[in-house]
Amino acid sequence: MAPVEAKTHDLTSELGKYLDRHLVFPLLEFLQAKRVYPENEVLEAKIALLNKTNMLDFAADIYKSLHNKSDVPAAMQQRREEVIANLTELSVKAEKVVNFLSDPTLVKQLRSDKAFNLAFLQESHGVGPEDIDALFHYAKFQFECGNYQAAGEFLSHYRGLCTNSERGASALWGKFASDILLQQWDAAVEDLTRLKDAVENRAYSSPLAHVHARTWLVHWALFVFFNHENGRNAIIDLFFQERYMQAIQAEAPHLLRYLAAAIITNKRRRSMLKDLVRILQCETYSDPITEFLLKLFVEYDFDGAQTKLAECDVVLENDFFLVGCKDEFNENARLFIFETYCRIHQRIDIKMLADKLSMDHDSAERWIVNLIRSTKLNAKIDSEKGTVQMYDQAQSVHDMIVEKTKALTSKTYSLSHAVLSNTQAQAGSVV
Amino acid sequence: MASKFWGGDSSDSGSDSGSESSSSSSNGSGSSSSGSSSSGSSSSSESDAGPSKYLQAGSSDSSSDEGVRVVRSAKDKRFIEARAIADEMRNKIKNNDWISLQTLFDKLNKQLERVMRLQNEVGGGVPKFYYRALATLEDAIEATFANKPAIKKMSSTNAKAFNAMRQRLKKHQRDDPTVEAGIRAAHEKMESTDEDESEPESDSDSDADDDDDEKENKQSADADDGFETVGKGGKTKGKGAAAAAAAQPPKELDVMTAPKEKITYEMVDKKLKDIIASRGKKGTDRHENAENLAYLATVSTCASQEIESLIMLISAQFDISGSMSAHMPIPIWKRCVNNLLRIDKLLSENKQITLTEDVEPQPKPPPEDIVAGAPVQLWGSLCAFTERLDDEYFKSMQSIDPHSKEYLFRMQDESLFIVLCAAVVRYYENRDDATEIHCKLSLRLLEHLYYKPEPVYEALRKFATAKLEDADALEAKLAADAVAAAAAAKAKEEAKRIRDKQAEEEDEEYLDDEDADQAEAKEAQEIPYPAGFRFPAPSLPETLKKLSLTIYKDGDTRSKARAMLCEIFQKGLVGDFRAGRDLMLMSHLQENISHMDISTQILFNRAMAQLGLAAFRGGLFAEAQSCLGEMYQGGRVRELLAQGVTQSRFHERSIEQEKLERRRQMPFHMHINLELLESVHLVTSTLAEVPYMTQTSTRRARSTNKPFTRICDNYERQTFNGPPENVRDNVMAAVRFLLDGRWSHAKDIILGLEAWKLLPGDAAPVLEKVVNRLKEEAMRTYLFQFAAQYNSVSMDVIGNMFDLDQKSAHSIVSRMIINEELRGMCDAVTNSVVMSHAEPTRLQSLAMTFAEKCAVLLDANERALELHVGTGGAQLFDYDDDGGGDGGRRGGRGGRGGRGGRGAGGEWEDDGGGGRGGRGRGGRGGRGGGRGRGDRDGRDGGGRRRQESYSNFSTRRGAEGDFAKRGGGKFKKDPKEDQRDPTERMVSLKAGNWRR
Repeated sequence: MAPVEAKTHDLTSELGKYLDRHLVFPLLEFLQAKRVYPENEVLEAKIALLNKTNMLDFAADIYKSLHNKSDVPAAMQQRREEVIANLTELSVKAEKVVNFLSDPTLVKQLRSDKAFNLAFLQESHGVGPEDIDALFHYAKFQFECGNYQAAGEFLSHYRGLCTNSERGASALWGKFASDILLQQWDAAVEDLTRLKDAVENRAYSSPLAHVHARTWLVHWALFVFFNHENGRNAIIDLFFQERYMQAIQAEAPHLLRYLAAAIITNKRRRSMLKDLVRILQCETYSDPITEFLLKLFVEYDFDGAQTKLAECDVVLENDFFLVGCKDEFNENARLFIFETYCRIHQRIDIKMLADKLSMDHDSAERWIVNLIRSTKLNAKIDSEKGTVQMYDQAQSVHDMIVEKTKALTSKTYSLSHAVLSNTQAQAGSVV
Repeated sequence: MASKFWGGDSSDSGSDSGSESSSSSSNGSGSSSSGSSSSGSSSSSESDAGPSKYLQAGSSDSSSDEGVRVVRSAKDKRFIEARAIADEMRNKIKNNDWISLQTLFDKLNKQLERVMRLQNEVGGGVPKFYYRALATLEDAIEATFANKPAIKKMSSTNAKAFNAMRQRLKKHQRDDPTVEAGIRAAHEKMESTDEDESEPESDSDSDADDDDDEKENKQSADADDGFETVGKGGKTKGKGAAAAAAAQPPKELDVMTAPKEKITYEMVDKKLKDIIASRGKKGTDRHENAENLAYLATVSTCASQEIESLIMLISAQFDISGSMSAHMPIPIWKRCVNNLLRIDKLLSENKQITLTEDVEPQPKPPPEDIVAGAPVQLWGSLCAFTERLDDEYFKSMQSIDPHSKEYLFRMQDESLFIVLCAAVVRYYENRDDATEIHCKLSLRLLEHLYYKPEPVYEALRKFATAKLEDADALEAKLAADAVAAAAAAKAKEEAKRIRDKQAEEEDEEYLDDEDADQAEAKEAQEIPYPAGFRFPAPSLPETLKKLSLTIYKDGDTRSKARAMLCEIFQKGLVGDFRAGRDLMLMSHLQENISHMDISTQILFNRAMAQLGLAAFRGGLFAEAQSCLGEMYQGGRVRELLAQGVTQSRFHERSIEQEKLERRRQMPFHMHINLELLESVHLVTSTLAEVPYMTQTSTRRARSTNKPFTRICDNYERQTFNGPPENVRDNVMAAVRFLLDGRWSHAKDIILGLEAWKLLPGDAAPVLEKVVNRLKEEAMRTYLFQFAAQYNSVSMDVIGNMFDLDQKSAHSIVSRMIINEELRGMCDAVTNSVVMSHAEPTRLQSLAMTFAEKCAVLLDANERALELHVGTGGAQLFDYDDDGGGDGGRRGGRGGRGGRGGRGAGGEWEDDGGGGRGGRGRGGRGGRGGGRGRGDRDGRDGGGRRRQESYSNFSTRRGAEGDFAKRGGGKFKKDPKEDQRDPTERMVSLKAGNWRR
């Protein structure tokens, strides 16, 4: 049962459309480890993936293990040779710049002024624009070979030197990918913000291309969001930006799963929940996580939400990005159910509640006590009857009036200030 | 005796008494016109009968002697009178008084008739002075006409009279060849006396008229050439060529009569030029021209010539219909399509021939080369012809009564057009220099298809395919017969013969063209489909997709927008709301539509309406409401969809506006059913609004659906409500039942609406969704309405009451509790809702009101300051920009600002917006006006909404409307008025308080 479940909600193929080959690789590794698909299929996919890259040795290894053979097809051999030839060619071309860059003292002489740098390189080291171009190609090639470290370095230098904005952008994407693959999350976050600016500021040939670029960006960003400590805030911020939300709704509604998960696990962003639910309501996409939210916040069907939560378990378990926050998700989701339940109900049977939250009676009671203490839940436990009694949380009239009149003072003040400044200005202009 | 008297004088004047009756039907006898004066003496028996009868009536004395005597004195008298008139005419010519000339001309003719009548009896010709008078008149006309400034100097009535005179003289000549001959003779004589004055008459005929004809005379160069050739031949022009052909000298073998084998390229070419030359001239028989051209096309010697004559033929066929408002006769339309298809076929068969549209074609190679197949460039535009045909089709659909059979037949013709359009599109597809035209035509085709449901399209396709196959079969049969007979040449002849026969038939058909429409329709039915063409083969979605992709690729903004709207419409039609909505959102059409032309705006409205229906069918009631709600805001749905005209109470349209509007109307078969639309709109509004209608205080504040609330208010205000008759009454009755908690009655009423039968697809599941939703909303309404009367309710009870299961009842109650709509809590143990009744004390509620009032006061102050500061400062300009945007978009979804002044808006839209409503009314109704309004509304929007909940604001509304009406310019320049406004409002607020 479980693997079937996992397969139906697996998003790898959806995500893969918007990711770089190298970025898909970790996803495949993960799938292989989780055994969601038959191993052979995953291996085949891996080979297909690697064949287009330059990591041919790796591909050959997989091929060997898949087919239990010691030799690899001739085509692969041939490509390998080509790749090596290319590599030497490119490295020769880029040698000058690479040599320059490998000397830290020389690099220190560079400044933030691009024009100056170019002139400086040209004059003192004979490095012309074609060499810088060669650097870009070399870096790209290194990236394709899986040498992310080098690629990342070269690209960041290249960005300091390049004048072509098109190339600069693509170098930025390359740098971002390298950082992700090297798991340097802080650097990746930086790249992400830079890349986002670049995407927003660049003029695209058509609005559609722009939307595509955004969609790519949010996909790549997933790696960062679920690995960086502050990622879950960032994902909410980014996804709820109107433009990105449009891109998601139009092109990649499956990303709503990650948004939903991020919101559920993020206690401080409760306020976003309503917006999310509204968005989910008008989308056709659904998986257990989004269905859970809909059950809970649209239909108020607590039993349904409970079953969905159980399904979520499988999904989270088999999702590359979400596997890390599984426990957190469960905890928070339960809390959601309970809170909503309490808001609606006056008297709750602890036993029933324990069933719903899949706990035993005592731990449920303890849990509730903790909640009452921590969240100022206005409730009391009636241990004789085994129920929790809620009290009316309605605002008192006094509070309401205070609320209403709170702003009056400051508003009046600013008003009078405005009047004053206006009359002064007028008096000034008359004089 | 008399004849002798006249004979001496008028030896060369060639008169013909028989043709004096001046009816064009007697032209047939014109063969004798070129004869000598011998015919003058031979009076026909018919003309004898006239005068004798007259004489019998005139006098009892029938003896010939006495008759002569009587005649003589009478004749002399008439003669002198006529002379006097002729003299007077000469005077008037000098004075340039064309008004009196006109009457004199009439008088002269009448007089002449009398003279002739008397003269006939004794025999004799037309008096010579008559011709002289006419010749002088003609000279004067020519001279004046050549002198343009002089015409301009004339008073308008005089100029009109001049033109009329000119036409009539010409007609007079044309009607009666003898007159023409006579005038020419008179001219010659006058010339001999004074040469410098008169011009040869034939010239005057040629350059007359060239300018006042409204169709562009593209072949003017050709026309002149053609004329000269003909002129030398001495052929009569501007007349039925067929009739004239008989009079041709034998050496000029005419194409029209010559046997097929003898026809040469030059002959056809000459005739063609001849006909072209006569095109557009007054009195040219357009039918006959077309006929001749049709014949020429069949006998032409090579493809290029056939194309040329076909192009001319099509132009001539377009000429037949003449006016812009009336549509082209249907048979002609069909023939036109066939001709166009023939051109298309010829073009595809003969690659050496090309058509140019915008540039002057290169000079033609000599005829021998053309026949041999040298590359030729011809003038002509398949695109323009196709577009014109499309327009004509549209026009005919607009004017034919949609309930007649004729309309049905006409609808079948659409298949023919689609065949044509597809063929032409294919033609342009192969040319790489014509992407623009390709797009244009693709759009045309698309607009013929987008509104068709799949079954309709399939039916049309089957129909067309069958027809086309028939045509093919016929062609094949002809070919087979011919092969069996013998040579291929003969086969061709056979085909030609049949075509000839068709042409003959056409002749007849043209004659009775003006007969009843019935005959026309029947006849149109009989015109066969052309052979060798295919209806676009792929299914509807595929075709549409292909077309729209073409347009998206190379089209301009407008065609892209239109194609997009068509696609959205189609999505709506199949019920795919989400896809349609996504397209709508992604294309940003909603924001830009107010800047587009009206026809596109109408298309937008149609697409929107269709989307609304699709949403309804999908059970997305809120979405349906938001799609349709806008359209019902002004109460001008008909106009917005171009499906009829609503008489507005406030605004009279001018005739031009009405005409324009009529031209925009959609043909009946493209209509979206208005009753269905209204039903959907009202039912969705009901579902959305009714629960909140119970909360009287906050209802206005939250309601965004003003038209609906207005309808409800009106309904409630009535003292008596009769049994419901129309959709609106029915829904209102349902609303009442819902408010009373009797949901099943409401259900019956809503399900009983007639319009549901018109829902595309299966209505049952849709209605089930409606009922389910109705139950929920009924329960909510009930809880709103009666919660105060309960202390606690069991879920079971309330669920049963509305036929809902416990789960959904629970979910509804839960939602209401969370949204703080219901004050109470669920009791999980007893499974019931416990209401909490915490009524505030008197003091508390007063304190609340006080706090609220303070907030309002502050708010009013803020706005007062804003206005004050705003009048002088740059701040206002910010507002202006915002407001302008809002105003323009007010039709659009955003319309935040626009909504504020809605109550008044209805009225002033009529004042400002002009005849045509439409989405962009704000934007179009003058930038300034729109902006001013937007500005006001934008600023008031928030504040007013808040206020409305506190005070009776409706009395203020009229004044507000007035204010808005004053328009933008004033608003800015006149600060005093602006300042008065907020203060007034405060006063009214106070009044509101007191009233409370």
